[in-house]
Amino acid sequence: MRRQGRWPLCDAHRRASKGLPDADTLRSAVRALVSNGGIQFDAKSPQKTVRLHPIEVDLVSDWLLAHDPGLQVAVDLRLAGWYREQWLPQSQWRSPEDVAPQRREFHHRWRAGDYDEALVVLAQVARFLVRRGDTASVRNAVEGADTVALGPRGRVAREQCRYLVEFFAGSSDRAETAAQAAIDAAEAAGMPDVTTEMQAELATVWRHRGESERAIQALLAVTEAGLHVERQVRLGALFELGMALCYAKRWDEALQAADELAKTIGPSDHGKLANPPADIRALARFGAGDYEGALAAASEAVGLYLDSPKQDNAGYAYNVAGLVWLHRDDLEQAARQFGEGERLGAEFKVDRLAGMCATNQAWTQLRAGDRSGALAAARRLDSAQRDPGWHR
Amino acid sequence: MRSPPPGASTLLSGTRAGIAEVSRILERVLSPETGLDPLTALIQAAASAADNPDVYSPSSETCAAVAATLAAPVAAEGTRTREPDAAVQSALHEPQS
Repeated sequence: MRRQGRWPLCDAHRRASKGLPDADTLRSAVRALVSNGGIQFDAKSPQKTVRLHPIEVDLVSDWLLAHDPGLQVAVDLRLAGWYREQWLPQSQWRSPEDVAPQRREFHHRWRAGDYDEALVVLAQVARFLVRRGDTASVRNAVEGADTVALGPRGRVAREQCRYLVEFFAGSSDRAETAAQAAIDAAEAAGMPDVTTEMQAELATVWRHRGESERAIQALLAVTEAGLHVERQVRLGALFELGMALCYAKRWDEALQAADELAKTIGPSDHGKLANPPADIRALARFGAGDYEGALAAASEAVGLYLDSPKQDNAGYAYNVAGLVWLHRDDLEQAARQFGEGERLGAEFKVDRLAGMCATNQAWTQLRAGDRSGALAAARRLDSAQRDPGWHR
Repeated sequence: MRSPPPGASTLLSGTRAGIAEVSRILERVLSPETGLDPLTALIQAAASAADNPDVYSPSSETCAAVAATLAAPVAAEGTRTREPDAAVQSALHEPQS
C-alpha cells in the first residue's frame, strides 16, 4: 500500500520543490500528501504540527540526495533553522530527549555541509550528552570533523567536543591535549571567553591527575582576572577552585571559595545550572572533621543536583555522605550512600564516580567483615574497566 | 600494541591516587589464592588513595584490624567470614585527622 502512495508523493514533492515560496503550489502539494496518507496532523502538538509519514521522510530525503543535492541542502538548512526554534532552555534539560532538537539541527547542518555551525551546536550540548552516557555520538562527530575542512569556530567546537569525550570517557592525557588544542584554537579565533573557559577545564584535568596546586594557580588566574571574565565561566572556575582547594586539603580556603561562589550566584544565573557551593562545603567540612556540617551540605547538594541537568553529580555528594558515615562507624548508612553514588555512576556511565564509590564500598564491606561483599565491589570496578561498552 | 579501552585509561590515569589501583589491590587481597600478605596489601591500597579526599584511606591500625578479619578461616569464597566483633570495631574507629 505504501508503495502505491510513492508516486503521488513524488509528484507532490516535485511540485513543491519547484517553488517553496509559492503558496499555491505548496498548498496543492500538501493536499496531495494528505489525500494519499503521506502526511499526518499531530493532534497532540500545541503548535498544530504536520508530519510526513516516517517512510515518506526517508523517501523524500533519498530522492533529494539522489536527484537534487542543492535542494537537499536548502531543505536541510531550513529544517535546521526550524529545530533551533525548538531548543529548550538548558535549565530544563533532564533526559537526552530534551536536546533532541539540537541533535537534529546538528544532523541537518552537517549534511548540508555547514560543518562549523553544526559543531558549534553540538558543542553546546556535548557535555550534557556525554554526562548521559552518550559518548558515542559525540565521539563519532569528532571523528567526522577530523575528516573535513573547518573554519576557526568549527575547530574550536571540535576540540571542545573532543575534550569532553576524553574527560568523561577517555584518558586524562588526551583530555589535556584536547583542552590545550581548544585554548589554542579559541585564541586563534579571537574567542577570549572560550579561551578562559577551557583554561578552567584544563585546571580540572590537572586536579584529577593530582596536580592540585597547579590547578589552583590556573583557577585563581581566572577568578581574579576581573569583570571581563564571562559570568558563567567565573562561576565554574570558582567552583573548581573550591574543589581543587579540597584536593589540596586547604579546607578553610575551600570553604571561603564556597562562600565566594554563594555570594556570586544570583537569580539571573539560573541556579540549577551552577554547581552549588554545598558540594564544596560537604567535602571541605568532612575534611575538616565537621561531620554534621558535611552531612547537611551533602544532603543539600544531592537535592540540588537531582533536580538539575547534572543529576550524576549527586553521586559525589552521596559519596561524601558515605565517607562521613564510614568515619562514624555506621557501616550500613555508609554502604547505602555509596550504593546510591555507584548507582548514579553506572546509570550515567561516569567511570570516575562509579570507581570511587565501588572502592569505598569495598572498604565498607571489609570493615563489616563481609569478604564477599568487598570482593564483589572491587570486582565491579575491575569489570567496568574491562568492558569498553560500559563506557559508551 | 592494542590500546586499552577508554574507561580503563580514565580510571588508571584520570584520577588522583589511582582508584583502580586501590580496587585491584583489594580484589587481590580478597582472593586467598594470591597469597598476598593482607596487612601489607591493605596498607598499600590505603596509601594509594591517601591524596584523594573522595576516596577512603584508612589508618594502618584499621588496616591491621581488617587484615585480622581476613586471616580468619574462610569456608569458601562468597561466604560471609564473620560478624565484626567489638574489639575489631574499636580498632576500626578512626577519628578524622
